[in-house]
Amino acid sequence: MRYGSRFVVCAYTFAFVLTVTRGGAERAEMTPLTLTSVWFLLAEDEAPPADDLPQWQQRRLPDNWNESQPGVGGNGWYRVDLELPQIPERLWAVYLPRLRMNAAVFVNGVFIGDGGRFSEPIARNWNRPLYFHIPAGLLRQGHNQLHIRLRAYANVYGGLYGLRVGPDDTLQTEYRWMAFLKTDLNQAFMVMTIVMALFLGTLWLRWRTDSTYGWMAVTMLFWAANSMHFFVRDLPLSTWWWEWSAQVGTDCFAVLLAISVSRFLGLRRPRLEGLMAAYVVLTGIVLSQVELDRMLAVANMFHLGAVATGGYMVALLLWASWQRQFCGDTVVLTVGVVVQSCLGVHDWLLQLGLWQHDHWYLMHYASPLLFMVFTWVLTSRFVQALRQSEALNRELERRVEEKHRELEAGYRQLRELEQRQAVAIERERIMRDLHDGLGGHLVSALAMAEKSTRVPDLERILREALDDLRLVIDSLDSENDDLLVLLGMVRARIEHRMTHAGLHFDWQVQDVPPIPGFGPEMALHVLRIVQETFTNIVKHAHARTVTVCTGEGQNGDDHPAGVYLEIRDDGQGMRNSSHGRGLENMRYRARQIGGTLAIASDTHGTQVRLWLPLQRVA
Amino acid sequence: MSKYKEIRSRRETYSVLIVEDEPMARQRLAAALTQHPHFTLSAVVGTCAEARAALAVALPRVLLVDLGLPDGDGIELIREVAERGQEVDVMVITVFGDEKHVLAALKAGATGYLLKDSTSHDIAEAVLQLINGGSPISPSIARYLLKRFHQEGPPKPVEVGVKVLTEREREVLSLIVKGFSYKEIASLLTMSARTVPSHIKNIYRKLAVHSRSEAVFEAVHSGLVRFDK
Repeated sequence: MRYGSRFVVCAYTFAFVLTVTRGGAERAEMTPLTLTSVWFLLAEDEAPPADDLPQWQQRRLPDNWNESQPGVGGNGWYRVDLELPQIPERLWAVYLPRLRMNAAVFVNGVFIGDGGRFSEPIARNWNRPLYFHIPAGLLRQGHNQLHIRLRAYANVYGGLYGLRVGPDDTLQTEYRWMAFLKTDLNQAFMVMTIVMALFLGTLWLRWRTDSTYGWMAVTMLFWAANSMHFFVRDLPLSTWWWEWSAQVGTDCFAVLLAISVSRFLGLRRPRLEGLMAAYVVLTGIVLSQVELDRMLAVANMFHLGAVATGGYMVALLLWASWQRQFCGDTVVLTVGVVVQSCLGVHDWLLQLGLWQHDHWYLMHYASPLLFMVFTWVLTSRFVQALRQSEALNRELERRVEEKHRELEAGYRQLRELEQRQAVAIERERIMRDLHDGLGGHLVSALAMAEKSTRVPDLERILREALDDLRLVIDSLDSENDDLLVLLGMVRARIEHRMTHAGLHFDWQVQDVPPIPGFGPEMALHVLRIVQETFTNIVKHAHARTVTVCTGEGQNGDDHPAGVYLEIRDDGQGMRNSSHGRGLENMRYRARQIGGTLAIASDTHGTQVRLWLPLQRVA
Repeated sequence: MSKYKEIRSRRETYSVLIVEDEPMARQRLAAALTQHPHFTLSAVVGTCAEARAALAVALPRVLLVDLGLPDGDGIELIREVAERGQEVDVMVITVFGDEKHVLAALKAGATGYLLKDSTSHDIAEAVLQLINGGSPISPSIARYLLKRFHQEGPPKPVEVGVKVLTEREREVLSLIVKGFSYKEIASLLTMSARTVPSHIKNIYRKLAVHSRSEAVFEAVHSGLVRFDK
């Protein structure tokens, strides 16, 4: 960035110098004729006055009315004699490089053109060259006369500062170049500045933290408005207001620029800035009381304040540059502001009349450069801020991701722990059942083996032990979520024993809806209930038929829908309460799985009914 | 009892090869079968190698094989025998009769299973029933079969001879799943009592054939088998 901005500064300075030296002072020697010897007459006539009037004075161009007729303004006439050896063959033109305020040209008494309105508000041609083609046939061989009507105010450096006549093809290039520098270029600068101002303004709207953007945008818009003074010809309001706004505007611009620079350096001086604002207001008020002919003189005094402001700006920047060890941005800006301020002083002195007013106003050429540099610097500042925030975002994202990963790892660990715990619980359950069921059988078997006489019972016990083990394994089948399949497996395991005891199954099972939560745990409890029931029947019931049925049903009015399993036998019923503990165990198991157990018994048989709910009750 | 009468009238004896590594169990099985006049023991061995040697000499009518053999997997033995294509009924001996072990044997080509602690009477009964065309089954195996054959959609064009269950077979299986006995099923579906076990055997055959061709197909595809015999 540093190199870029330095390059821009150099290039611009070079171009600027070139322009100034090229167009600063008019060239005197060329084929087109520069006419300097004139006659002047102050008269309100709208047509060229007669030659023989005694008031005609002799003057020389450039003619500054502040000097040739101080304090006097109004409608004037210039008369110029032009001797031509022959009638020109090519097209000729009249070129007025500089004048103030408005002129009309007559060749040999014929009007060929003017710069606009002569009535209020007068067309402003003070910074605008005028060029008029001389129609063919107007010029004569020998003596020709040019009349130039000029209208200006008093004390505003009115007058005619140059007059050239010559062939159109050569003269026009001069005119075009001058018109470009004075009019077109300024218009272009204005547009460019407005664009930059809008851009900075948009940035400020989005990023309110740094007020430099806002101030700079306002300054630039103000300058753009002010620069209209240089090329607007036909005024929308009265000359007095225009002039007033031009003068006050310059001071206001200086103050705005100073504030922008302060903000840029990160300084806030409310009291000083208040003072500057007050000064501008004062200028405005005082000047509003002044007439047009005294306005420039009074304004020049107030412009001292602008000069002082400029000086303050320069001092501030120099101090900041030194403080920041001459880092690129600040130095470039300092150079720009210094150049601008010097040219501002130049313009002020010019307005004071130090030079013979053949110099130009130069400050407004330096401003665009300054604005470009400012815009560049502020934009790169903005971009840098954006990059910083992006980097911060990335950092944040990275940290969030890290935390996320840590959290995930933590969750995974938790899940693993939970899994291990679940497995441990299940293992314990199985071990408990094996211990109670199978373990018990084996212990009995062992005891019997020791009394080796009771071999048949040993066989029975061991067989029962194996069946029991198979039952437990069946219950562990993880796919077993069906009550009917379970019952079928039990029948397959037990049928042998039942047939041996003379019992016969009446299998009346029906399809039932799936029971929620029917896993290994529930299955084993159901199995044990069923097993206990069958064992009781075999041992005590003295029955012939065992009816097994299942179905959907309710268990009373206040119970929701459920599934029941009923085992009926046609034996002698439970006569004594020797089954107490076994039945208690069955009821306990039923409760464990959220169901109920109902046992009814009479001399015709016993009915065991297990009911399980279809809705999981917490 | 009528079953025995039928067989006696036919005057056939069937050779049985027993493969069981535990000596006491081996003795028990051998005793159970020799007691019946319709069975002769072709060989009684304790390892895969011995079994293969015996098979090379002569093929039995029934092969009784235990899965947990010391020098190999009983499943492999079953597969070898089943692939021979001749009429050999393979019955696998299992302690628990649980779904996993039985199914593995069935897929390999077994057509029945036997609980290790069955009584001598039950052993002979079961083997006879197998020879007569019936196979034992349990509700959980039946449920597995229903699921397995249900998963197959329309027959895949690649596998020739893939069978699906018939409607009858499906009905039989679903009743077995509910725990009904063969007799009850026969009365519920109005078929003779003998048809039910033969349905089961057919279903087992479908399971085995299906698996084998599938296995071959996959083996060929993955380049494990080359047809260069």
